[in-house]
Amino acid sequence: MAEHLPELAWIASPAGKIIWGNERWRDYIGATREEISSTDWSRIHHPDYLPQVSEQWIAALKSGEPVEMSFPLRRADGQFNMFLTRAKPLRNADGSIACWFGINTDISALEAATTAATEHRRMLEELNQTAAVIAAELNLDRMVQFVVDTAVRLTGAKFGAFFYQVPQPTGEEMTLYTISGVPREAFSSFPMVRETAVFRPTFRGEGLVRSHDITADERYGKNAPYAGIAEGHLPVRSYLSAPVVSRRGEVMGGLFFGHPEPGRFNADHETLLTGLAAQAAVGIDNARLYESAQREIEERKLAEESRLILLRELNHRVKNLFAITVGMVGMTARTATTTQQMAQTLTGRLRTLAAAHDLIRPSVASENQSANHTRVDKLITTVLAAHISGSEGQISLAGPDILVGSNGVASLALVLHELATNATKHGSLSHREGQIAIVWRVEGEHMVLDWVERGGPPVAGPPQRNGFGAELARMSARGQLGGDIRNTWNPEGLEITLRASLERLQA
Amino acid sequence: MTTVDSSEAAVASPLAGIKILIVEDEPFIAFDLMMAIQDAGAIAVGPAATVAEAIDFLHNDDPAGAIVDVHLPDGTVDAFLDILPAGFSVVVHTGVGLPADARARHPDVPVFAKPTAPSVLLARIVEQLKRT
Repeated sequence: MAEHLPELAWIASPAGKIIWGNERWRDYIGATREEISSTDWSRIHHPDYLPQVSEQWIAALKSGEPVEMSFPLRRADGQFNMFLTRAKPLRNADGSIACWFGINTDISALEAATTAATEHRRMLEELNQTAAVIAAELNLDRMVQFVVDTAVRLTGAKFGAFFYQVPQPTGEEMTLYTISGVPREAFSSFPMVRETAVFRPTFRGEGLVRSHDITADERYGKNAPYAGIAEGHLPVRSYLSAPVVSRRGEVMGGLFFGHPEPGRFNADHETLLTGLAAQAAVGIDNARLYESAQREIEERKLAEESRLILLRELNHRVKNLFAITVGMVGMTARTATTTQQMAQTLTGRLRTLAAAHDLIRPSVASENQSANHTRVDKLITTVLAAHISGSEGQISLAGPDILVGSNGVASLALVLHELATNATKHGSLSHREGQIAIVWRVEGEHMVLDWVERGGPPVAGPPQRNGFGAELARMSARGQLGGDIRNTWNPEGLEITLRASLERLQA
Repeated sequence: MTTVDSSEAAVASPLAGIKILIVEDEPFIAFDLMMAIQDAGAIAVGPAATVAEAIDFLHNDDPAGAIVDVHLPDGTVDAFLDILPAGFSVVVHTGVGLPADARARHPDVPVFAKPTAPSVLLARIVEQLKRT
């Protein structure tokens, strides 16, 4: 009966020596009936298990208790299979042990399934942990790096990469990549992964690609200019890739893994990668949402700050204008001899101030920083426009583009206004044909402006006493503009040289 | 438009003959203050448009008091305030106020927001000069 059992069956003497084995036993170990009793244990046992097996067996023989053991046995062809062995004593009428009966059940298939199940469980646990990390990581770069590192570790890939599209503030998309298993330098000299036949399914989000040996794949090497692995490229045989697709179905990028030896990736790795890719997609979505939320908060904060700065600037300017105006009224009132003259002088000065302010007003109304400045020629034209009553061409301007800032503009405008007022009262602009040629240039750190009056009444010489206008102009040039004013009373007309610090002008 | 007889005012004014320096880079404000000082019978010194000029006037003209702006083309007025002799009467006339560190060094200096009437500034100078 035991002879035909599907299991290996045997009988051992009370001393533990096998004296009989069934057909399966004999076939398995490759021994004849006669050879059984002379079979050396070390021939059929795995050396790693032998000490423990002997110990357990000797203990059983001593105690006379049934025993159960797991150990591999060498098959006739040399392969070890795992067996579950159960042995129990058969006793004589007097209770003494007659022999031991043992059965060995081949559990190698079960063992393999258990190992696979354990491996599978481990993978799922890893995947689960990965999900937790991905969910907690809001930094896109770090999250993606974690995904690639994890995938490389779990699939046993030699190297891995994640190529992904990042929307730029310009509206374009930029492809970035994260790698694992190789230094970045080994990668950076290569051109970007293109949508070739091999990569297409990944970039189109069509699905996972697993290749035992990518160099044997029909899609491989179809593309100019490399026709295969580009020179110096990583040597890939085993290939595994998966698209990363967002909840909205948008392909965000692809995960790519390789190994220089063929046949390294299996169905489990595929499952794993599918899971990881899905997690990465959620993670990227989250990170992007977080980043854009952060950016929006930041932008709002900046907008609020610049609004406050603008308000403060505006407030400061208004206060300053009032201060100047109060001074202007007080001073003009003291120097004017009639109410009419006071009104006229004051109006001229106030209009100049308003015009100057108007030139730089765009800096308050717009966010364009360059609008915070005006050009010298524009300023001169604006100020002098109020003083020209005669023919066109009374004023000629020539000089390079020089910017004037919000502080410099009021000072320069008022200086020019005083010069023009003087020219209108006593100089060339008091005649319809009178002219003023204004030429400016840059000399080192200063702007030098020549103001030459011609066609007015003949100039006798310096005036008896300086008017307040001239005083104002002189003080402005010296103090606020960091320069000076020099007058030359040429009989043909007054000539003025105004120097102003470029730094002060542009402030 | 009314001509003030300065000799009459000088006799009546507590500021008669006293030198007051104006440190102000805005010409209209500066001249307005200069004339107000003269109207009050005092002697206007300046105007100094920069800190450097203010220090020059202080050394050369020996003023007893000053009305000073804070922000000048060559810096803030601290450097001037730091070297004022004891008993000097100074008032600050500013659009933005004294910087915190200058305020800490000169806690007793009166600060007036621009524009303050010249008569108010001068009254404060007189008050301070009386105390010393």
